[in-house]
Amino acid sequence: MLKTFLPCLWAFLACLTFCFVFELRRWRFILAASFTGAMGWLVYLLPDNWGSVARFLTATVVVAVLSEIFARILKTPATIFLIIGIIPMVPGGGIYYTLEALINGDMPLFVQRGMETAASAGAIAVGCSLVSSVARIIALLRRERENRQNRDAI
Amino acid sequence: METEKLLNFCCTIGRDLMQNGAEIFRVEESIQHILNAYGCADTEVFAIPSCIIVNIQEGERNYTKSVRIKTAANNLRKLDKLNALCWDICRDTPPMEENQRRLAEVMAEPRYPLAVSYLAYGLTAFFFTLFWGGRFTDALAAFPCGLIIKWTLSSMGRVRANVFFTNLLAGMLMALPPLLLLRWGVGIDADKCIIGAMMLLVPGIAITNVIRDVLAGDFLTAVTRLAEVLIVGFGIAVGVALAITAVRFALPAAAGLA
Repeated sequence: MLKTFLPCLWAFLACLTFCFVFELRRWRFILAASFTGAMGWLVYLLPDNWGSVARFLTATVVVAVLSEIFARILKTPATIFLIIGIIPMVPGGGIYYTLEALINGDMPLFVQRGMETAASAGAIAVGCSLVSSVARIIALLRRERENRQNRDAI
Repeated sequence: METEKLLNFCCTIGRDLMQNGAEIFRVEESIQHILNAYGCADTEVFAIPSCIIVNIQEGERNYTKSVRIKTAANNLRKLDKLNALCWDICRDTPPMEENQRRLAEVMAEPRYPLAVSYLAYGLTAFFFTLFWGGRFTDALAAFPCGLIIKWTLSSMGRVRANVFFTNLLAGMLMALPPLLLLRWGVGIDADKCIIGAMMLLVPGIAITNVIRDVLAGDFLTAVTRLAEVLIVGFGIAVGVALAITAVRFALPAAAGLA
């Protein structure tokens, strides 16, 4: 049990130190961004009978939703939390093993791993896009409503 | 005179936003909002990652300025502060001198001390190695890889090397120590060390923003940033591949281990 969820702790700490790489200073931002990253990985780990693409997709949706929420609470661009929170999702292992297969001249393995990596990258992009699109529409509708109310007040 | 000041200010803040990881729509919208707040009705703003063009029309007269953007600073704290500054400016419309002073203040804020920065790179490699399933000893071996990456990135930044070469070199240099340690009989999982440290080189800002730019309809920007992501990725891959091949050639005794 603990062993399964230990990666979430490592993801949290890795995101935390990554915040320092990207020069974030306020502790509230750093903790929010690291929490986002850890939650993403937790969601990735939970449904262990799904395919990896579906898991990456749900996990990214969670990361993106959390980023938008934190952006509203802390009044800062969502991209800050997204940049940090998405990093554990980056298929580093997939890229490396694809490369290794290529160096070894193992073409079938190279294609298989390459496609797997590309599919998970695609899932991340789709998950991220869905949430960002919805968030933008909501923000736009809210702004329109506010404008209308302002007009009525005048 | 006032219009020119406004134009200059908008270009400066736009460039600073872009360099510190803002998406294209954020840059364009921020400039547009500031211009609107100062009562410019007839304006055009166009931004791509390497350039911003702002035009203000007053009657028949046009004021245009373009700025070329070359480097990226990737400082998310500054992105937050610049974003907040834009909101303040749009709300209060203070005089331009005041805005310029505040912008200069934000930009003059010091970065983390070098030691903290190195430590952050080392620890990130450390934790990501554990994250990718490495053991504690693997993570310890990944720590210096992080330091090497930081050193390579900052020295290559100083000599203004291109992104491909910078990432190639960083990938190669950081992959060497774990591979050599393995060849010298230290029982570490070199793959895990390299994967952990590689996370530092992944162009996270470009990847995240390429998605957000596509959604905002900035396809030109998306293509540019995608090219950047691919070139950086290709650079890392070639670098790591060179390191693996070099170690296999130089020390063939233990072939088949790595």
